[in-house]
Amino acid sequence: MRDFLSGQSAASPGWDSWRSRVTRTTSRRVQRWSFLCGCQKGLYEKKRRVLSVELPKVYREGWRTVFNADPNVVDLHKMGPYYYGLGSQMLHFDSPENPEIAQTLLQTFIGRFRRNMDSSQNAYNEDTSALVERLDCLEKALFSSGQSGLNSFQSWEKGRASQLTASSLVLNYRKRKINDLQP
Amino acid sequence: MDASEVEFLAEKETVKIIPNFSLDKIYLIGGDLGPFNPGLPVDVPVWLALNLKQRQKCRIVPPAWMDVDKLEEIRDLERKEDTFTPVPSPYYMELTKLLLNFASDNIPKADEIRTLVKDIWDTRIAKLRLSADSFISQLEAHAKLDNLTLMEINTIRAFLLDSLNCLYKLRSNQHPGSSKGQFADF
Repeated sequence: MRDFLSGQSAASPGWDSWRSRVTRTTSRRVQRWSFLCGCQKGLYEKKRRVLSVELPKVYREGWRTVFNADPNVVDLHKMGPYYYGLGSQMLHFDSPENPEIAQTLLQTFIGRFRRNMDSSQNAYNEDTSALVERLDCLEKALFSSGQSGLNSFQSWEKGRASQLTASSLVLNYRKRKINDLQP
Repeated sequence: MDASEVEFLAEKETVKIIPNFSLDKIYLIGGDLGPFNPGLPVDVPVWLALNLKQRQKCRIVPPAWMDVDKLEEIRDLERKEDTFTPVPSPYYMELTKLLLNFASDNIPKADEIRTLVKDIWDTRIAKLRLSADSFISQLEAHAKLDNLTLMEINTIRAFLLDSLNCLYKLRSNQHPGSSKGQFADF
């Protein structure tokens, strides 16, 4: 079973962010395994105590203090691109620190909200990679929805909303003769 | 909703024109229009006014609020107040853009008007972002904003609703018994 799981995680590196460390206690020895988060939820059971879960360091006391102090300075992409998602999943595992973790997740989101809103609603027609690189995946989705609202308004204001443009599918066929006729 | 859809709704507003042709009353599904007599002002919807103007069949009379002094007053009041002031027209942004694009020769000081309306818009959008931020940071459940126009709401709608969804999911983490699915799946 161990080989199967480690083989699986090697084959799909995209799942790395969903792994967390698991301590499996047996009567003879302690083994630390990395499981997929989805598998853990099934294996984890309060009564049987088959598994106990160790929190990733981002959700522990030390980092929580940093997030509570100023959430804007943290590079959430480096800290695990799925900070909010994984944090919410970690709450399944009945850690005594659950209320604090939930509170920190919420306060981090709120603290970063203003900056995300301003950057997504003001950055028009420019390179946004510097703004986006420190965002978690959830925040990136919000950023793109803010940008789409801004872009649609700006293109309307410029009058581009009512201009006819050739579809990219048609352009790809490269069969249009009109470009040859007109200079 | 797209910005062009909001513009479409704005084109239903009435504006005064002075036609240079004559036509009896016309009966449309949306209402009756006319009769049109040369040189006599008549109220028509904006879509018709723009169409006639493009065919050079009328002259558009700018609305009463589309005046430099009035807009300056509105802009100064908007900057002074913390809340949203009543707007000259619920579609001021769209009407400004449409009328100034197609009928700028009928409107005096068109560039100044464009700048003033843009200033009013920027001030209101800044206030809207500020109130969205305080709504989120204080975790309020209910907010009421008066005197907002559809175009302003439209620009922030997608972002604000998605953020509120995320916020709801994060808040329900704190009260595991209260939501159906126990913890949020992003």
